[in-house]
Amino acid sequence: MGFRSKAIRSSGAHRVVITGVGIITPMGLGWKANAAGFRAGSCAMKPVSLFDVSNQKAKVAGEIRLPDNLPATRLNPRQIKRIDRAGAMLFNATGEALEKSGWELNKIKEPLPVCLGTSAGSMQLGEDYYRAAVEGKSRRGQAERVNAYQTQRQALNLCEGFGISGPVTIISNACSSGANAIGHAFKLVSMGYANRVLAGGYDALCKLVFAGFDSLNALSVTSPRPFAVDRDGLALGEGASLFCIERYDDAIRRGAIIYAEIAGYGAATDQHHLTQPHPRGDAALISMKKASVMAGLNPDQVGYVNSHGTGTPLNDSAEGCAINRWAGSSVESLAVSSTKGGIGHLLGGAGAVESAICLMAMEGGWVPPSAAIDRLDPVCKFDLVQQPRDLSKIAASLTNSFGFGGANATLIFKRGWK
Amino acid sequence: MTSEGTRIAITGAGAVTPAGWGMPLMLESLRNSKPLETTSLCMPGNDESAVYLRREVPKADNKESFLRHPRLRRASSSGRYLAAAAMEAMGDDLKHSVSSGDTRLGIVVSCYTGGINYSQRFYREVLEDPATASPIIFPETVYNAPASHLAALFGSSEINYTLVGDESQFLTALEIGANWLVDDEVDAVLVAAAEENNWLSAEALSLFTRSSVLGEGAAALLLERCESPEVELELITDMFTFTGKCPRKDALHSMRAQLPGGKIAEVLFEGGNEGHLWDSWQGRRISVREIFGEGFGVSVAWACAAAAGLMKSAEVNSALVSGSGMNQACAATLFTGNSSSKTD
Repeated sequence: MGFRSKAIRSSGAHRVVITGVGIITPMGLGWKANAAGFRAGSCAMKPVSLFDVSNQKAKVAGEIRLPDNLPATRLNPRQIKRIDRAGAMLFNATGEALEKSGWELNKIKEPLPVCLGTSAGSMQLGEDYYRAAVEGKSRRGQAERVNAYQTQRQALNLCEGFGISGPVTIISNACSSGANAIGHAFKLVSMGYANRVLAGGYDALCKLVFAGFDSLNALSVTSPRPFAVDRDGLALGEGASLFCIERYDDAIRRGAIIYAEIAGYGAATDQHHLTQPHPRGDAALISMKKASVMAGLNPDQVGYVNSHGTGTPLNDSAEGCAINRWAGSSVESLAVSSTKGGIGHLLGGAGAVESAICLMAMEGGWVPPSAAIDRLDPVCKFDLVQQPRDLSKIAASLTNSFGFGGANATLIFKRGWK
Repeated sequence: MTSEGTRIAITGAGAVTPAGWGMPLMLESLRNSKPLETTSLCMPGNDESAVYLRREVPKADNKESFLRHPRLRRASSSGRYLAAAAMEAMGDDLKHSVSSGDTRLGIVVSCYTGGINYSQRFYREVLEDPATASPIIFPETVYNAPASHLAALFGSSEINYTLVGDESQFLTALEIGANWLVDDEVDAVLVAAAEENNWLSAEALSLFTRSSVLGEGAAALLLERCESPEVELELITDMFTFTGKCPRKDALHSMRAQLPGGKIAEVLFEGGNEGHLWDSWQGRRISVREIFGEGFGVSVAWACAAAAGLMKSAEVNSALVSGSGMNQACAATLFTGNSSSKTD
């Protein structure tokens, strides 16, 4: 990595594959539990228990049930005690991803880059620090809170815990952070800057962010119903998904299981408004087009689209419009769903978790259904999947992630093989 | 691919510092080598709270029309600093070329504390009564809000990243921007960083060091491909992460080992977190921290902008920026001019 002027690099892009996936969401811990939940279209939303929401309009969210213990790592008990909720998610997802990948970290000679996406980082600890500072009674514990609150600390803990030594890049592009992190990792490997990267996204629920979305009237006071004509907002959730990403040639050489090939990545910026998408989804269309051109796929070759599909009036109409424009004449047969009705919007974790869902769908031959709705928004010219559906041979899938600030990202995966 | 032999030029630089708005004021302060005046900072509404020292950015000139852009009306202080530095770095021709769609402009912003004043204010409102917390403030607390404002300001729909981490991450941002150009992802890249003063940051800093003075501001560099650069991005070392296996001292030595031997550059911008690494440096050295204060994520960015500024004015022909962060990683970058001896 680094940069050297006039450096001569081998020409041509490397094929890039995913050889390890770890996931934790309100559906559960691990690939199996999540695949079962998403396939069935389960709903894991429940009343918020992590903080007081009695004065908020919205009352539900997708909370994770964390296991009692972290996966085995090099951390000592004192270090483990300092891991916050978001950090614990990160450890759980990483542990599974590394185990699946077969990467032997102690045998990897070159630095292993880590690329993470998060929007809130360890905001819960920041809240704790703020309250203690305002009370001003004692500075005891404040240094530890400040240290642990810094977003890079979670990534550094991860490196420490798993014995990873490589550059850490944290992309905070709001709700597209996770997709951008995977996309960035893909580019690093594809363009020859790294042989392998650990990448993904995560976010934990916290009061500040919950209240923020509530203040914007963006949270549903009923239940999130993406693409329903009477949708009234999103629900928040929390979770993480991590990926072991490496060169196809290396994966083949070591006989690794390949979960998917990352075929395309597109990123674009919507200049329309800080929190509102362009009504016709112009930037979303750009990111989808960039990804599909890079993947060398036409829309009719993409078997499933995991939409950003938040359930807010503005997002779904803009995204729906963008999907229609992107798919063109093949729109009617395009299977689309949003999985946010079941687990909520995971913010910085959304792009990563929804990428994992795409991989599960391709491996299992099914499409995760959206929350069932009575009346479809007329923008849905595509096939919005609302009931569990088996769909064998999904050769490629696409996931969209759109965030505040107009951060738009699209990833396209081709089905893996074992 | 167009990667073979690509050279990256720094074609623009901008800065906002406690010395004022613009590169000339920053460079003048650094030439004077005199730490700027400090003011005090305490918890708003609590005169009995601890008092900290800071160096503030002077109030903006209201004649700056870009500050009246709809996106910047409610932007955080750091967002406005960032916009000013970016405007300075971008020439008028390029601004027009980007907005008309002829030039693809990528944006990479790095930050450490982000829009902390709005975050603090919003959270205070949430604690008081979440039902009345301001929906106008919340979106400005999101880390990538300032980078988004830049995209709107310049009319760019291209790729746009915000990185979070310690001050070393400005060099990651620089590396990403340079590689976007090498890979022909975009035609120009704005790499920038910004931070703003806040009593919470001051209090946090005081938990680790008693002598620091808080600083604030922004800096931006404009990167373009060029066959014969006036100011060239010669190299960025690998980023060495601080871990138990690779503590800061080892990381710094690994960083140093990737730099050329002999006289590396005419001027060294030292970060202040390098211990004794540069004790034997015999050329000119500059510490932006000493002059402007602890700028958190903007410190390395100031140094890079200053390096580019001094080279542009032919004051020096090469500059090394040592970017050791507070707790995450270290890397260094070397800028060379037309007549300096190249390292390759």
